Amino acid sequence: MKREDLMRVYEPKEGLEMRVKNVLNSLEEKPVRRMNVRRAAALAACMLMLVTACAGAAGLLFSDEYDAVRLAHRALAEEYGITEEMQTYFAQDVREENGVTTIVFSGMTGLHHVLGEYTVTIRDGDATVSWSKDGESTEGDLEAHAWGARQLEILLEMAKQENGFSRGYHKAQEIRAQMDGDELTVSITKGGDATVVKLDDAQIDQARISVSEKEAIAIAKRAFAQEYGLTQAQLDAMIYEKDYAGYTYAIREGKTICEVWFWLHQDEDVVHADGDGLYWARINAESGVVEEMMYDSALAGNG
Amino acid sequence: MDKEQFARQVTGLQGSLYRVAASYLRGESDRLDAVSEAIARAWEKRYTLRDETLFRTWITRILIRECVNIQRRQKRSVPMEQMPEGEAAKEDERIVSLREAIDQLPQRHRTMVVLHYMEGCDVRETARIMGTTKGAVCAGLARARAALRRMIGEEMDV
Repeated sequence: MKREDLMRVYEPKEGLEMRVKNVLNSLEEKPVRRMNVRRAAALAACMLMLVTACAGAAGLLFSDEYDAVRLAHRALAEEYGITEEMQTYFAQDVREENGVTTIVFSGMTGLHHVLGEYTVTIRDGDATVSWSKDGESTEGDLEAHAWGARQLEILLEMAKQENGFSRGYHKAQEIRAQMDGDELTVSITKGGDATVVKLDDAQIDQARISVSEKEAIAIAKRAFAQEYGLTQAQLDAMIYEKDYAGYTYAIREGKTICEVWFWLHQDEDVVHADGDGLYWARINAESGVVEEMMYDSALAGNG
Repeated sequence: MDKEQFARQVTGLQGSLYRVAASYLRGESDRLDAVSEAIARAWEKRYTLRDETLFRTWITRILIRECVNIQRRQKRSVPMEQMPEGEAAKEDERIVSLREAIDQLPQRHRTMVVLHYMEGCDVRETARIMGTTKGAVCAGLARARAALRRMIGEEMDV
């Protein structure tokens, strides 16, 4: 078969030209709004991510939901200095309604009273962030009743020592005793309310799956490199945890997906090296789109 | 990139964008919706395009995501085999059987065929657009060629 024959297979109809022209005419040349960057350090971190993304794996496709999550993480870093590593102390919940995406980062059980909740609202590509403890003092390291980025830095440093996490947790409980109200229980599982139907081997053969497990692993690793700046050595050191969630292929919200999990622990003699933790990606098994992904440094003891 | 430059690039690529959309979506209106939506989104996100020489790769990726979103909304309620009657009758029988064969390929392989054999993207660009590796594209194209050979008894000589 020749190329000209192939081109006729999906030949555009007459309406295309007019439709494209109409869309182009309707585009408005409004200025692009960007978020203000308050912290020079956060800006430097974002620039590093950008450079890594440019140099790394181009061509990955991410779902709209993940794009929103990524924007929310950037907004948290820029506005409050909350880094990816600190995300381990929060559960994340994504809701979308009428074109507005709301992502709530809830401080984990046992720390919720000091960490509070960050709410990121994304509308027309712009993110606004607020913290339930806005206005409260974060002075005084772990003595403060509101723990922001400074306290999370201290917690991370403590957690990197043997049994370090529990010391921070006990400090939070001392503060808890001075405060009113009940402690909120927060599930660390993200998006855990969706129905997932596991596919067995026979069903996998029948399903329209065009992304093999091996390909899903490759896509996930490229996404980790791009999004989290992992080096090739770190990618090579990752341990693939097959069926970590009890399945690899499944139907979730009508989509056939492949979930891949990895552990990274680079040095047996070090409790936690940069980048260590749990990595996870949910890949659309038909299209190869990265539907969702996550890095959990596991420093909050949930790893 | 200003509006005029953007419009020029999009106009030059409209046929290509349509064919990629057609590799995902059966309905004519869905294809046009996907292309329109992708153009609008690309315009909104134009500041994220870091290298203008990658415009085709970039906008095609946006388009693919739109196609996937439309498929998701439809939850594949319209099977690929259901083509409006009358459309096919007017066409060359050979093209019709070729389309039927391509339509039977798995989604990803079909898009690889469109990008590589119809749009002339090399393996690297195809991989970039589809978010996969060159090896996966080579393997996918080989499987697609074998499947088409089985179905229509012809080799690709493009």
